[in-house]
Amino acid sequence: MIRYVVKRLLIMIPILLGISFIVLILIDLAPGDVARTVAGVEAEDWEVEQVREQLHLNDPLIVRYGRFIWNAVHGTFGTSFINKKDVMHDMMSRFPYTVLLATLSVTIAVFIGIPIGVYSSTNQYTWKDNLAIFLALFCVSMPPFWFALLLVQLFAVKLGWVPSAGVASWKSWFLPTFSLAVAYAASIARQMRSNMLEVIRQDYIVTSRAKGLHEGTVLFRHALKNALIPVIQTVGGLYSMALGGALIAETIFSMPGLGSYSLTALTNRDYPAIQGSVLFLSTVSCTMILLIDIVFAFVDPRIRSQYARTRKKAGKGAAKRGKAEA
Amino acid sequence: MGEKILDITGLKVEYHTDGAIIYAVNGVNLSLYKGETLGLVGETGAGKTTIARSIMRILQTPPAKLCGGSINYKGQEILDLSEKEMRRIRGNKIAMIFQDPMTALNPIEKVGFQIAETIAVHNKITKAEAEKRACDMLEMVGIPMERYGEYPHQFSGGMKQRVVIAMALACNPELLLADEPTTALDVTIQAQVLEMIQNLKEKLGTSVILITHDLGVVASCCDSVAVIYGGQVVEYGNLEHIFDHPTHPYTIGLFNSLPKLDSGETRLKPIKGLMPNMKELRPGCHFCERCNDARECCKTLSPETVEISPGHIVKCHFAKKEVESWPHSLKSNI
Amino acid sequence: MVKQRHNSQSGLPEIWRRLKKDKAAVISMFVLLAIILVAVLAPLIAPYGYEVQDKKHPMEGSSRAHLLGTDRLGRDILSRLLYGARYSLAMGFIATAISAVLGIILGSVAGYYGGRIDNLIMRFLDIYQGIPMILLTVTLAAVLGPSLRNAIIALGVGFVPGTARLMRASILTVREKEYIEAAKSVNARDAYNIIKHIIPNAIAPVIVSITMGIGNCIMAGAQLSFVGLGVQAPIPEWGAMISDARNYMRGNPTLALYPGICIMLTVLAFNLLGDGLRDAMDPRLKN
Repeated sequence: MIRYVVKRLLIMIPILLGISFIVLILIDLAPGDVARTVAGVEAEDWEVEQVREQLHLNDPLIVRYGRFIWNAVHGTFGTSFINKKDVMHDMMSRFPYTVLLATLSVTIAVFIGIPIGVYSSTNQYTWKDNLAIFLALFCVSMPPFWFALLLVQLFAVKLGWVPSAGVASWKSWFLPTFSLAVAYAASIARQMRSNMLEVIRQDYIVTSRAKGLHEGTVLFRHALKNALIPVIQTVGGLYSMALGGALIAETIFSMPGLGSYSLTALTNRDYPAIQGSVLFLSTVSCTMILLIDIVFAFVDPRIRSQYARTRKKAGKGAAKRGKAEA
Repeated sequence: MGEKILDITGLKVEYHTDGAIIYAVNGVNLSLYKGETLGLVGETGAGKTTIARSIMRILQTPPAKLCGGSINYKGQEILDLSEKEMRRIRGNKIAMIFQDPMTALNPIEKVGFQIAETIAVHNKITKAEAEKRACDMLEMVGIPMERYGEYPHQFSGGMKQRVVIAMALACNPELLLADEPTTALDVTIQAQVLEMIQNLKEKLGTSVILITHDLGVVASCCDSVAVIYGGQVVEYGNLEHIFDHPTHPYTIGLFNSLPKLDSGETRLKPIKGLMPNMKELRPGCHFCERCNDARECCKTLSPETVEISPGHIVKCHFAKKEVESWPHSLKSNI
Repeated sequence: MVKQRHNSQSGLPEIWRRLKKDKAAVISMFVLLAIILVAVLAPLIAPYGYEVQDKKHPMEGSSRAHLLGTDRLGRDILSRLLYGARYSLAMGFIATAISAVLGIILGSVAGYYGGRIDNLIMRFLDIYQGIPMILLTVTLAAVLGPSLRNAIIALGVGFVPGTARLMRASILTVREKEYIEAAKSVNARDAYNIIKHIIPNAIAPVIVSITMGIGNCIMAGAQLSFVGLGVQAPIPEWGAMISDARNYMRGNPTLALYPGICIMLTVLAFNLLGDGLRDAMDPRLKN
């Protein structure tokens, strides 16, 4: 297992380097003269040139890349054009909110989605199943930002149960989390249902019934465990989506997280902040996916044995003998 | 012959699918005696697996429907038992081996555990005791007990099938249903697995119903044979009856379609036509379309079951007619 | 058990027949056709132009003159919704087309050639997907400059990895099958192989994904407009309309309701259709 973890960690490095490269050349992608855009339309030519030097835009790409990586590793992304504060400092103080939002949303989605998916699959062909499928599709088709606004209207404005913005109290987290979690839960429910339906048709399920096991044991011990495994990978993807969704959710709910910071930076062409936050969020995303993949490899014995470092000594010899026979 | 442990009469099973009804089993009568191995022979789709799964009542009951007949197991009517009572029988008194060992085992549970689970469900013993007995079963099928904690994907096909056998025999069942246990295996492994089933059967006194489409397997393992076609038993008898005096045209066709090594023939002789569409229950004999000796009455009148010699039953209008029989010497070639 | 006869002829007429049986999918098809018609005929059927301002009646509820009311500048909501269909659908279709073409090419090449090419493409996709998709599309749209065209490009680029991986996985499955071995053994050339044999068989899951992808693109496009990085005023894209209405939700909640419902219906229709297609193409999965 350790080998697997190390291998995946090593792979993450070129991925992050690749992302850094993309982030770096974002500046170059922008149409028009970046330096002028930053300096301002009315700036003098020498001012524009000064900005160009500041942004090191005259250096060759390799040098810029190297400098960027060097700085990134040291936690320096420059100063924000908008609020003149150190980008890294701002990001560090904000990212916990985003991570918490994403984690909460996905966790709630898992706890809602899995039972619904299982329930739906065991009631196939009934109205309960059809209703669940339809509801799930319905939830997935709702624009999350619109859903958030509706939730605010209902629960914050009309009913007054929770605040509509900010992070003042723990109640403030309900709406933002829920607005994201519903679509993810629907996604998980659909996948869980389809996994269960597939697993239940497998031969080993018939075998377990033929052994005289109680139907509950068959379902929950044998079928469910097998059906859950692919869902783990989906959760990784959903976490990445949640980090993206946080951009919008944090803006709507005025949360001081990394998402709203990125969005502000993007709408205002604040390049240091853009570079910093895209790289930061991508790093969080990659790390989370790595963690989830490790859990996945741990849980599925077929993958686990590929990376097992040690085997019981007697077992190893016997395994060799066993394989040599029929 | 020992006591009769299984008596099936008039078994009828239908599959209700999207609009159509498939009449899979149409009035099957079978008996099994203690210590006997009964071979169920027939093509794919004849209904053999359905019969076996009906005995254990593990058919998927939305599409499948047990709609007639009786399955009497040692005095108990299987079709009348509650689910709870049925569970006590499955894996315990009646066990099943499935065709494809590659998919018959749960891929994410340890192999030893899957055996121990059967034992624990049917016996009030401690976990440790169940594990110990599972290890004993592993040894009995020739797998070192150190491999208890390994997973199915770490075993080859033949070894997986041994695990399946160990799982089936773990509680010392009285009746073993083996559904084409060797079809998915290499020929060399086939012989090993069959031999193991024979040995265990003798050691534990199990009665076996062996489903197969391979007459060679039947010849080497079975005491009596039932030939299944179109969801019915078209011929039944002991090994000599069937191999020396095959009477039903289908049975004869099966033997004729075997390639003969020493006869000088150059072309195979398959049975013409295909299995009938089981969605329509036509009156008359199901085999008449493919039968070389079919007459008018075959299309309209369902043949009666005739006992042409003690213990040898044939379902055909012309059962008493003289037919070719299979020469004795060729039986050893199979 | 009776082995059911292999009736899964998955030729087009067979798929169409199965699709017709799915009531939800059929309704969705009609709904989508209606929406497309509306988008095409908007200039003809809309009572007003989308930027026509009735300065005397801003923020009004429904009236005879304005069936769904007016927005803060007195523009007719109904007309704007009808015109909005054009932009949302345009974003959805064009962006999906871009991502589908790029994704299919990438995925096919990776899946068919395998080896180092496959590795290279997969590493590239790993980097690509290391950035959360919404972040990627928003960033591209922001950097390129907010406009409809750039939003479409950003969306098209953002949706590529999903399609590429799906295509690759599908091709890997099909490649294993024996008839490809057969074709290869007769020395058919690579491109011929891919186009004639592999792609038709591998494309089924991708078609389902593309159908639902159109819905997702529409939603993502609306999201871009909502944050101001997509279409610019006064273009009545549905997401932009929601953004406009946001500040007036307290007094006039329906302002944001209608465009949202439009988005939802459209996306739901695409999703239902996609589901129906999946069941029609591989009925085994359903039964």
